Amino acid sequence: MTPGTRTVQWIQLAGWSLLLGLYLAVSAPQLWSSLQFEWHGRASASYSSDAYLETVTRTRKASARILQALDTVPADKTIVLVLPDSGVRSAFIAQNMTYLSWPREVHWISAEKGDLEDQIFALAPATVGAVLFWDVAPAANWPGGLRLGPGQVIFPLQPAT
Amino acid sequence: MSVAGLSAALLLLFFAGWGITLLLVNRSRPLHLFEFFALAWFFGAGTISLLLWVGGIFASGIALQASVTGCALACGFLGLRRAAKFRLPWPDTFLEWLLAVILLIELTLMLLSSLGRPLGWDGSFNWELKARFAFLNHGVMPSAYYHSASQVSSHPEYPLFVPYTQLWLDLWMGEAHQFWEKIVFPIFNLAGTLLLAFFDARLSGRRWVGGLVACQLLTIPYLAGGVGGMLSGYLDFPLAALYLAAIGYLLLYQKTGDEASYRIYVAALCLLPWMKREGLVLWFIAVLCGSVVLIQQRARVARFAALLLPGLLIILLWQLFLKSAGTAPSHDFVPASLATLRTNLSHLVPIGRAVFAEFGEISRWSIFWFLVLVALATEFIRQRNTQCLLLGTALVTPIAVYSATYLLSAWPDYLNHLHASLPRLLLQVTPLGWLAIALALARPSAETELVPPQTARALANSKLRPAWRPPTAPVKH
Repeated sequence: MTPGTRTVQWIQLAGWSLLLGLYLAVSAPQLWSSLQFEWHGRASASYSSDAYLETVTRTRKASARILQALDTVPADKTIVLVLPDSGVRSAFIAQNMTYLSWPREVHWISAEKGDLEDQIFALAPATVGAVLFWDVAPAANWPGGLRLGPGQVIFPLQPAT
Repeated sequence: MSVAGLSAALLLLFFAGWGITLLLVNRSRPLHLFEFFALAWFFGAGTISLLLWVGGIFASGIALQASVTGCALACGFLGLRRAAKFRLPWPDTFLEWLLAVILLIELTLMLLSSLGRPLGWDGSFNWELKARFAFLNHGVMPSAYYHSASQVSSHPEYPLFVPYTQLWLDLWMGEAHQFWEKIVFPIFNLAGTLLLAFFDARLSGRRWVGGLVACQLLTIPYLAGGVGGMLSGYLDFPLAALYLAAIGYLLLYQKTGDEASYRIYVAALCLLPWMKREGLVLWFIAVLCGSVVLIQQRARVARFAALLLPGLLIILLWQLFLKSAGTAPSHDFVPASLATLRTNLSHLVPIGRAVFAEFGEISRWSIFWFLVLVALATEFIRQRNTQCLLLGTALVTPIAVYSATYLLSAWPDYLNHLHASLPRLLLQVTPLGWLAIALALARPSAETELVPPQTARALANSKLRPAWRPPTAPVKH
């Protein structure tokens, strides 16, 4: 190896060291934030669902309560989910309910789109197994709901005899 | 029960992957423990998920689990008969020790962080959801899922590589366990990182380059903590690792003529479309790169067919399955037609501008894309060989194709679509970007320095062609 080649190699190595150093200097502050996380309780079967639902119900282990309430709803029925609006938070709640309710279908309606009872009764009543009000107060004439959290009440519907 | 079941599922998966890797290598060369771990994981998970899918057409419940277990054991025992030699690359110098310790710390933090965080949106509602639904239906995806109105947003058309790997764990644990299912992601991340270190060392001829670049991979801000990064249960990094495996082994084959590397390349290739929808694009590009090598070698038509057919078969079978299940096509893109392209041609400039702006997004990428640009430019100026051409094509073409797909976006605002998904798509080529940086970082004379003169002379004079020729720049083991 000639001295010239060796010099070129050292320049190259120094150049790359500089670039990689700059890269790390820029990355480091962002990396610090990615290391900040908290454990959400024990290693449970509903680890992710509980963590999501905790942010929207402010209660722990919410998925177990929801699954227990859904147990009484037949698998071929639809669950009507009543949410305050059509925003991102509501979409997130609806997605969680779609996940937990399977094999039941979930039909999501928004309180901001007009009269709730009109929207609910517009659905084929025979297909609806339960109505879940999420951060929306049910009308006073809705009887005997099951409270799942501070703002969540579910009304399982019995088929008409 | 959960942990015992999880351990059994993982052991069986690795045993199957171990067997397949040994069958592919076929005693033609010693196996590096890093590459062996990564390949056993990729091929084990790929095989188990494919077996669960195909087996699920004919059986369910315990019959399905028992038959897949039988096949996994058969793969492992078949491989046992081709037992190979293994090598553990123990660090030699102070620098190698330092890099090994840093990498170990990074990987431990990655593991803890992956397990501690809940899955991201896609991780839960596109992937884990499928594993749960199949578990609740005795190990088979319920047919109602494919035309359920409320499940459209979970993309029923996405393939089942990772959901069915998670399903395998669930079947053995006896419950759909969200916490332990997440273990597949740190393993994919580990496999990808180790493979990157392996390829960097083998192709650059310097082990410290492999260690250095593997340490840097985990420091890309978006990869470490972004929405679609390696901690959130999205599949972009696992797909990136598999694409790295395909291209890396193709480069090794092109450089050394090692047939085992070629077989591993073909095997990794056919898993790409089974991992994720974008895997189809990466499969096509990797086939294109492989074809260039085969054309250079004036290979026979049968070799081209062997390259193309396994992946094509998986693609066709999956499409046939979706069609028979009555799945609606993706709602994110409109069907490609000349009329649509002509209408949306005016989007090309804003798309190009947005893509370049993304490259410069320091908070997500630091100066990574600038380093890649410098590395590619350096390599093209210095080398101008097939390796450069292949690496450049494998790195740049997916970005160009992904950018062009936004011309067919069905979103009301195509730029919103781009901003929501492009960073994740770029992740799929980041390991190849680091590979390009490693090659540029290694000094030009590394190859000549590392080939012992007597070995080079002996090889040149040898009339016997060894089953496996060592690379021109062997790495100390």
